[in-house]
Amino acid sequence: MNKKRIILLALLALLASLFAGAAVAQETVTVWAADDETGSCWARLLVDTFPRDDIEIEVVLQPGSSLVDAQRTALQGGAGPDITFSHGPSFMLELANAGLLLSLDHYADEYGWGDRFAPWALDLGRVEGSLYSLSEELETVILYYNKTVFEEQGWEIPTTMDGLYALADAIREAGLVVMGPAFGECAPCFEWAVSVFFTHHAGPEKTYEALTGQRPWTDPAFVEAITALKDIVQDGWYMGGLDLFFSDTFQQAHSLFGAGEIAMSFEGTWMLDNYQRDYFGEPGGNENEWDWFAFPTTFSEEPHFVIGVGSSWGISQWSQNPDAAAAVLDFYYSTSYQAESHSVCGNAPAPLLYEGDVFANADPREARLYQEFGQASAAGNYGYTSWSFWPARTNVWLWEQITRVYDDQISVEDYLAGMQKEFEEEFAEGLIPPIPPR
Amino acid sequence: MARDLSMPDDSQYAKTPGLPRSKSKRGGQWTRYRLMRYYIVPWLFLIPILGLHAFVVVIPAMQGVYYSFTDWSGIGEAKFIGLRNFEEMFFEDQSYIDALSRNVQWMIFRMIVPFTFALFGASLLAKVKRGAMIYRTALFMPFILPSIVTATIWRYLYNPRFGLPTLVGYDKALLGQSDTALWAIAFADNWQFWGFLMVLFLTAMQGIDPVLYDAAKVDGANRWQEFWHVTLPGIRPVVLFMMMMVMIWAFLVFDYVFILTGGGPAGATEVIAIDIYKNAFQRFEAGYAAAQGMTICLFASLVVSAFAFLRKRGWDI
Amino acid sequence: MIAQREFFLFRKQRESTVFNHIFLSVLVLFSLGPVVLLGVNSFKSNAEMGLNPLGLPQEWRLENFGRAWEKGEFERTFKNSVIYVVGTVSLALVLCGLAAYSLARKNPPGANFVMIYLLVASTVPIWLYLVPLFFMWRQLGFLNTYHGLILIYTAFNAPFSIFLLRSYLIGLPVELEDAARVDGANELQVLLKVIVPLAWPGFLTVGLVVGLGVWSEFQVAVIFTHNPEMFPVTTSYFKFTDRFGRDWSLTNAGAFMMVAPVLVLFLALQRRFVEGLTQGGVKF
Repeated sequence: MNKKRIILLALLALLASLFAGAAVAQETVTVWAADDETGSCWARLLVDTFPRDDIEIEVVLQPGSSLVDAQRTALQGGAGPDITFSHGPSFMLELANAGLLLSLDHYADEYGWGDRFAPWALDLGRVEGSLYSLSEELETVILYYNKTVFEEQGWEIPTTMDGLYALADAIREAGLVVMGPAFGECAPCFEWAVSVFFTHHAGPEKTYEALTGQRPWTDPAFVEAITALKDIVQDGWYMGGLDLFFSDTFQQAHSLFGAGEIAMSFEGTWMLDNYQRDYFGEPGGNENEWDWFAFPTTFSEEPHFVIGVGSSWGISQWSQNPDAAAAVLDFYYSTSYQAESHSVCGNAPAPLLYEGDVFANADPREARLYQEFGQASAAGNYGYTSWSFWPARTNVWLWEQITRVYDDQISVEDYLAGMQKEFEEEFAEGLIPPIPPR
Repeated sequence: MARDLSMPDDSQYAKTPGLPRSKSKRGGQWTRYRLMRYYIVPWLFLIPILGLHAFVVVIPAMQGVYYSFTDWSGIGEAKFIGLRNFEEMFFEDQSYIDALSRNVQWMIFRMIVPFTFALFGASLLAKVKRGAMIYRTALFMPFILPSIVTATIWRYLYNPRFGLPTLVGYDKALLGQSDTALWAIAFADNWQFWGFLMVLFLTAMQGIDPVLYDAAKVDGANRWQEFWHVTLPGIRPVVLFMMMMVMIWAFLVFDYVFILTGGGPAGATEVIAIDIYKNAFQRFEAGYAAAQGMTICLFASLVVSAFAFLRKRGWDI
Repeated sequence: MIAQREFFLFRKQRESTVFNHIFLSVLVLFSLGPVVLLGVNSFKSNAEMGLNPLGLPQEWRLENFGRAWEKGEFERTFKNSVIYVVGTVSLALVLCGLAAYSLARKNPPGANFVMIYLLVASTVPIWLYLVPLFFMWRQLGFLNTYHGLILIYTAFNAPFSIFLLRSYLIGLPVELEDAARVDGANELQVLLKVIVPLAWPGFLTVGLVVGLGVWSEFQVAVIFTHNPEMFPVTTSYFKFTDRFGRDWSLTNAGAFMMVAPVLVLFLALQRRFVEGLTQGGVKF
């Protein structure tokens, strides 16, 4: 009886292995990507350079504006790509909580991702200790400036907030607008400046404490920071006036920046590529040059940066070939692929630990950014972008209500009190994205 | 001019000579014939499209209705919470009430400005013979363009650096100020919409008996009096029907607002549909968003019932 | 008395339309100005669009169109959109035509209810049923198919189409139908042989409006098709976007190409189209 059973099992195992052997044919892994210049470029690169023959990668390019919404619907309906893309940790947290993502823990062990990523970066993808997503597109917000105009006017790069105020006065005296861009096309983009002011004005430690629930958002340090932001916005730093700041297009602001009518641009590092490509030099119809500097702080002359990730990747619950998908992710998150994707497509690199000079081909201004960024994060001079670290509802409050502050409809105190209320609710529900310990 | 949105009355059938009343002598046959003719066949004609519509919209929407009674992030488990969403919406959520009031403002604008443009344009055009087709085509053309493009043109036209405000020496961006943005969007939307309305009115005007105009002339009516006493009453059914449609559509407005301001500046143009979008896709409160969506249907049915009621009371709508 | 009457006749014959022409020209300027601007802008470079969005281009860049055509993959998306439009318009005209005929002429029990149902159902926001509908479509294997989208579009357009067709049919004289019935025609024959030939301008109008709607639809299409082989023309138009903002020169050129066939069709059919609205008279 027992013997028979064992033989039967052995036979079954043999059969199974035979079938498995016979099914070595190609496995397909689908990925959705935004159908823009960068997206279509890295998609091609990924398909072309992926080394394994037994896995076929199928990248579906979708209109970027609807990509995430379309994917959400598809995932809920039991369809969608094997590798899921989203705009960063807080979106991934929601998918993971809904049970739509596979845990990546054993893949992380298998492929040794723990040693490859910057430690904080891997933590960003954890939900209750389990890894569900990998961060992509390291990014921060900096001040770009029109170098040609600065040289003509003899303006210096400020290293303190006071220096920045003086510079702004000088710029306006010269009849120029202090900075762009304008957010007529992007309501959530108001979060950029708020994130920077929490870190650069109130300080990264206090912000960390608030994000971990140890300090209320109504703390005087935050009141001061937001008041300072409100003052410069109402003073017309952006676009020369609140009305234009609220209604103009990015293109409008960037064109004026390239043409030298706007002196600086308070923008994300995702623009590193675009300024050269579209707005400066020949394509912009001018002979100007640009460069960048870190937004100064109130407490230090060293450069500080808010850290953000533009997107995250995970593996869908519905994936038919999760192992193959993990293999694709492993290749995607290799330093060599990231460096190549960066130099060929201008894709912002994933937060990996890069060794040596993998960005040798990059534009020197860009190379300097990653160098300074690396130094700053090693020295603890880094802070937080709201789109990567704030919970969803609190973050909507953050960018939605700040415009009411600018428009004098609510006070800074009420704004922060409201943020605290949303935050407390989400904190209680366990919806805070993982905040890496400092 | 026929009566309105719903059924013609029975008198129409009484007048119809083709009914084979006299052909049938036996009562049973008559009934079966009648059943076929007046019940089954008409419904056979209706069922395919109504079935399709129910299949695509109503059946899935039932599930949406259920979600409106739940706390649901948009994916995963939905927790039943009864009427809590509605309670929050009407009694605690100031932004919903504000959004609703903006939809009402939008509705009022839509019922005045495009109607004025369209009535004005149509009554001018009704008198013109030469070049009428060219005018009609030109005035209708904005309606066929995609709103994403036309909206952008208006953003530039409103820009104080080089747009229309420079012509009158105004130096602010109309879309960037909380007290003007909604009206600026509504006007851009009017630009695209009124031509469609005009063509409908024009059509109706051509159905007015010319004898009425002659009579008005004999009475010495001027242009305005003629319009007020002959034209407007003549096209009243269309005007009122379109009023009803515009009122319903006013709760759905999304496109132009989303493209031009996304609800800003400072929330000044946040209409219900924008609020729903934010709740569903940005705040992950899809259950609440479903409840808000339900209220749109509710308002629409209120408007429709109001018109149906007025018609029952003998208004010639 | 006689003099007065003569004066009246004189006035009637020569009623001046100068006033009308002046005001109409102003209105035409108002309507077409932005359209012309769209055309002009499609020749500018992206940076120039920002600096000079309302003037004539410094340099007429014809290559915008070539680039937009290629990058937008218009060749493929045009074909798909034509299929969606033709499919939806045909299906909508047949099904809604039947329904409108029934409502306009047969007065079935519950007609009133049907009309109110259609009005209210057309206001159900799509977010309310998107996910359940998607789920259903997946079960039925309708995702990424032409008929899957065509069925959705037909349903969406049903209320408006039925209303417009019905109001059009009400305006037609019933005598011919009765004559046909006396000759022994059944209901379907009456509809096909009498109503359709009489009412075709109305059908054309509805077809144009529905076709226009499908041609410029985007949101539903990207959710129910995940295969670029199935994407409609509107997706081409969104190819010129960056993560923030977009390349407006290519967008304008793309928009121009997207609209061009519609414009040509509209201009070619506009006489019929406007007749469609005028001959029968839209009656509500």
